[in-house]
Amino acid sequence: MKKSGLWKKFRKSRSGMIGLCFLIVEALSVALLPAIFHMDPVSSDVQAGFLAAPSAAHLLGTDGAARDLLARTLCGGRVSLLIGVAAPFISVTIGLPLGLAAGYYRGIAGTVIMRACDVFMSFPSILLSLVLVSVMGPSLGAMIAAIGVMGWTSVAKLVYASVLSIREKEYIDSAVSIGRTDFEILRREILPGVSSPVLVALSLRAGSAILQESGLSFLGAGIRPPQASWGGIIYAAQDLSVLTRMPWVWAPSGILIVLTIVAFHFVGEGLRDALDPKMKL
Amino acid sequence: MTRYLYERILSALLTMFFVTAIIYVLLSSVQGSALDVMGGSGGDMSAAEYEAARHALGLDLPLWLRYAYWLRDVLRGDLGLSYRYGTPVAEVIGQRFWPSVLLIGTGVSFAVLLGVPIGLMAAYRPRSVWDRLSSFFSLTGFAVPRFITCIAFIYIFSFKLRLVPATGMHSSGVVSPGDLVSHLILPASTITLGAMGYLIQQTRSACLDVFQEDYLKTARAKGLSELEVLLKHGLRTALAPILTQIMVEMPEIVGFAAIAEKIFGWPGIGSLMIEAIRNRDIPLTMGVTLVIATLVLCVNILLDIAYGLLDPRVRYR
Repeated sequence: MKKSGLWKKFRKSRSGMIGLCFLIVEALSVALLPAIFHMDPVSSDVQAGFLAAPSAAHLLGTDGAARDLLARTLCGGRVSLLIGVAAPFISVTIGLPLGLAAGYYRGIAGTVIMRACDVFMSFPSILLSLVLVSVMGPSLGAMIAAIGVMGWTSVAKLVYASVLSIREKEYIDSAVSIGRTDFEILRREILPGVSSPVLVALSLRAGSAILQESGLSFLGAGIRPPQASWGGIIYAAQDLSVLTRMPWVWAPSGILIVLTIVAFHFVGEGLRDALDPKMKL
Repeated sequence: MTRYLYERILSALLTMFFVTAIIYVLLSSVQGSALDVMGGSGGDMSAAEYEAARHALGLDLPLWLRYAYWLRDVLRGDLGLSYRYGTPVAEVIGQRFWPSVLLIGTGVSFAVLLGVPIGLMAAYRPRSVWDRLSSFFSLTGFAVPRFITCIAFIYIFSFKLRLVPATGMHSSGVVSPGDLVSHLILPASTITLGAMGYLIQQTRSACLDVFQEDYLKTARAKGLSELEVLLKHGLRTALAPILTQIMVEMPEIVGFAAIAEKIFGWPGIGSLMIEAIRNRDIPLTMGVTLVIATLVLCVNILLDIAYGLLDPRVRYR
């Protein structure tokens, strides 16, 4: 399908467009606002006080170390959006070739790859990524790698299923009969067929990557303070007095996580409807 | 059916071997061992003592050999000693096992009891209140992080409404079923809410498929009541994909049960594993890994049996 055709169809999906606009505005805000207004997410403003309520100087108040929460929320957004975009690409980089190979060659290779999928899927992914992050040490790169690697199974399964159905098509037989190599068939005949589900999976995986990141950071295993992340900011709410009396600390980050995941999901659904409404994902 | 079961059990054992091997290898490659976390390399231990302690824990052996030893001991029924607690891993896990089973069992049961009817009704009456309820729960199910659900529940039900206690499993000094239930309600309902989203979605789409079948028209034409049509023909056929969905979700449910246990201070194996990973307590982490994998795979085998009973094509294999 031509690019312009896809855009024309996507534009008709109202929730998809709302999601896309939200994500664009959000990405621009977290990228530009801290620089424009010289916000500082790491240094403490002791005069303003610890866990201070919102004021003119600190629009969202301050956190337990007297750091500006608006700056931290914006910078936490950078972490979440970066992971939401980068981790799914890693999942696809691993899952796409493995799913292609398993679906095209089937046989022993296919069985081994799909069994490996089952092994990974039979264990809670949050605990596996917890182990992975503790191996690599807590950093943004480690989080992206851990979450990206854990996502390969769902991409591989998806690609595997679509390759199996494409393989049965007659144009594959004709490509084989004119002597095309396996690589050429995979690249020219099969890859275009799986690109739609992969594109949709990318945006749906983005939401779950953000979910995972916030969960890991909340458990104290992800992004470590002083670097800001939404999960890390909400971590403060484990303190009962913060939870009950200072909602300005955790509410903005909590709401933003949910809205961002919903936005990615809407974009994914809009893409799916534009590409192939019958696609099951 | 017997052969089908043997196949499933064999593949479950293989899966367990690989899960434990992967986690063992990962854990062992962590920078800084349990000794460092316990403050060994800092200063109060000389180099010779440090090496002796490493040797005593078997940390100086090659990786594959350590895993082989671990596996051999497990087959003999010995999970080893926890680095952290110094007591047998089986004992530590034993204390935390049943609370987790109770929590996850309650949460999942209610997810099925509420989710399946909602999904069924949403498919039966599209665009009704049920349908809207179903999209609401599906959306919250995947878009709201579990820890936010937990925190919101504590905020609303424990502090604003003061209905139930927020944390722990018992009030201090009280051991009564009523007290246990009041502590169970919040963590179990977060699990229900989390597990229900996909379940409703799956039930709805499975039922939508079934409701288009011609044999439902036949059943109605025979004069069956709507309820009979709905339950006997609709739900029964849709049950297979629903079971599959529970199987697929089971590991993730255990995963967010771990988060719920951590936040609500529920003494289960999920929060134990989070703790053990942080402490680089390899025997304890491996023990919990084994238990969680066994739990998940046992549930899967049970559901497989149920699946076989539902689907004659499988039953007679």
